[in-house]
Amino acid sequence: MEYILILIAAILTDNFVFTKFLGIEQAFVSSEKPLNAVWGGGLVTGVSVVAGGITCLLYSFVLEPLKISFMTLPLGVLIVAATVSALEAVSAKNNALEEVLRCHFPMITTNGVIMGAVFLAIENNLNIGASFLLLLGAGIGYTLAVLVFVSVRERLQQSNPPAAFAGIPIMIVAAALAVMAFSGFAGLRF
Amino acid sequence: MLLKTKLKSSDSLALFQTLALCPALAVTTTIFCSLAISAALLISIVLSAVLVSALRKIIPTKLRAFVYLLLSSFSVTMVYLIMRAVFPSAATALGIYLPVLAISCVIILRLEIFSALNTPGLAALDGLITGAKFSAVMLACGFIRELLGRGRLFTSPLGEGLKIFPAAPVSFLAQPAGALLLIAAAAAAIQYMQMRNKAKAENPETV
Repeated sequence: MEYILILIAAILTDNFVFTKFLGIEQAFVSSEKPLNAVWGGGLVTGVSVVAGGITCLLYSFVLEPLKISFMTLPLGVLIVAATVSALEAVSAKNNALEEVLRCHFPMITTNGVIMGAVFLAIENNLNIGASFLLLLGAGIGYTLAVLVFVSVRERLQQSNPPAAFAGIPIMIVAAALAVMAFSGFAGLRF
Repeated sequence: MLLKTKLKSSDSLALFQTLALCPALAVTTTIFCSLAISAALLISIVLSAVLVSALRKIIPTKLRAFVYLLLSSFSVTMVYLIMRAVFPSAATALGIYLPVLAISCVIILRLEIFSALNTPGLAALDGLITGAKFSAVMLACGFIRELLGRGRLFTSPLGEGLKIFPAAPVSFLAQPAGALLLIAAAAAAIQYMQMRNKAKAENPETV
């Protein structure tokens, strides 16, 4: 039960994008079509589970026992970057796959969701299973956020805001409204 | 390579840079937190800019994204360790947002666009200016959010601070969405001023 709660909290109540603003910039500009956005979100989820999982394992079995836990950040960042490069090399062999994923690769290394989830797991002393679930939930929550933002942007293109708000300001207002809508999940209790 | 390929239109880049501030904005609920995160951002952006520009001739082109990430995360780690030793309460208040600064687009974008092409002195200056700009926004945001969102000023782990209003006038501002609305209002105000100045320049008689 506790594990299910961690997953649901990471997706809805403590969504990384909406409550912590991590990865909000990528979620907002990453794509213009819902299907493509789901691919990008899936990619982030995959990298989050694989690279974040490796970082958490390294932290609890190597870095912490050796008392060099300050190395977690540089190591984690490098593992994420290496995973992204590996995925890029693999997808380069398949034309159809590369076409869909190409625009998402450059943004993943600077996506705060993955490192945020790793450090949250470390800060709360979660065990390995719980850390993996948190990383998975962070990725799924990011996918949800991307879908929300894609739809918002699609709707904004057809709207006619006041001239001073046109462009960037209205997008940030829309993001704030999405954030408020998600804060409604805070009342979720089991 | 990291970001430039993806962001061709300038509108998208401006939006991206505005939103890149957001992870840091989430912690600016008080002036104390804003000061802590601004100091961390300022020091780490200058440090990594100097490191990147000093090493720019020996960084292999193919691996440069890795090297930028590594150098910026080392700078942030240094800041984090120093902050934890000297101001433990500030490090706790920032929580996960301090390590996440290392991969923030604010820093990586500066490293890629400017520091990698210029001398260490210029890179340090550029980092200082960029950091100061973002710090000013964060401090202003922290000031407004603490004053109106909580009705207090200068609350910190060390003390209660000053009580300005008996109750929080706009308690909504203390929540995460409040920061976003504040930034949106500021961006709209800037856009309005620009539009008015442009209109004035075009036909000065009518305005």
